[in-house]
Amino acid sequence: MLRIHLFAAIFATAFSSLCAAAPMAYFTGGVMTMVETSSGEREAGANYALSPRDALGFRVAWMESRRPVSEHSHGAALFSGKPKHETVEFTYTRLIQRWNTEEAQVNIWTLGGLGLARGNTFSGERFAYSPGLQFDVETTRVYFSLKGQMHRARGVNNDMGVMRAGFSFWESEYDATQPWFIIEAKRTREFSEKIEITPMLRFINKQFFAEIGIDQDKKVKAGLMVVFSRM
Amino acid sequence: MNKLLFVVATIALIPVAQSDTIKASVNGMVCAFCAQGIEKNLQATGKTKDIFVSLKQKVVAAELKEGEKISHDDFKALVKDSGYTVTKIETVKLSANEIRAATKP
Repeated sequence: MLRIHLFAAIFATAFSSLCAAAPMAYFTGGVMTMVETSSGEREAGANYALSPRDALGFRVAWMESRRPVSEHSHGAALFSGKPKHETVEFTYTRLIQRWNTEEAQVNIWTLGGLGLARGNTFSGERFAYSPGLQFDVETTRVYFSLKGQMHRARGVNNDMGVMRAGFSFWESEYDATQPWFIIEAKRTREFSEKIEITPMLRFINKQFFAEIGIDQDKKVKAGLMVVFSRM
Repeated sequence: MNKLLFVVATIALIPVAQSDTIKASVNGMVCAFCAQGIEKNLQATGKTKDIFVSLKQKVVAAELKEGEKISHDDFKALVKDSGYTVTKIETVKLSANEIRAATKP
């Protein structure tokens, strides 16, 4: 049932004309929507900007570990296979601090969620939480970010660390498409034994933000964010 | 005939009322989402007729509706609330469109 809700939410987020993309709209009343897919992971979310600095929303995620595990207790197999988890959370995103210079912007964000997780390694639903912190530096030509976020429920630890760095091919105006080259290095506990490296192309145009890349296992990773406003 | 010419010439010489445009240099405005945020926050005042944002020039220009006013302090506060910093501000007698045209190469 949770899976049906999950896909319905992804579908609604991706195609509803009422929604848009993220991590948040930088104006009160703006709605950000996002979808992201990669090998073993699907995620969709939306949030509503309460102010230009904070937003409240939801997130749905599905994850299938790339690493099979076997758990035993007193010689009896409890679980064997690839762990799968689905999570539905209410989220909160807040800009803690921003420093502005003529050429750059430096940000510290806090983000997190509270919700429910379900999976094939346990029965029923469990309380899930995901506090995190992000640091980023951005100019019109260069981007760098570090993000650490816990993704926990009892018996689940998908904490992740993500580093992203890249540059834009040229400087663009607000109403023109700006292409970027970004490299992402990501490590997720109990998901993969290695750091996933994904070179990506990013395109930004006004309220649209799209990324597509291929990781070292030749699996496609893609994401789309759109910010909507009523004005 | 002379009277008609006089009336036409008088009308032609009456200066056309031009809206004020607040033009500001803004620090930290580096991406399209930043520009969109500033644009929407200014639009939300209901006092702007047209807004021009240049990421390359780091300039925000808000042409005000006729009879509307936004003080420089209020404009700075609005941009600050949006997350950015105004470093220079002036009111000019140019439309946002003229400023837009002037920044194009």
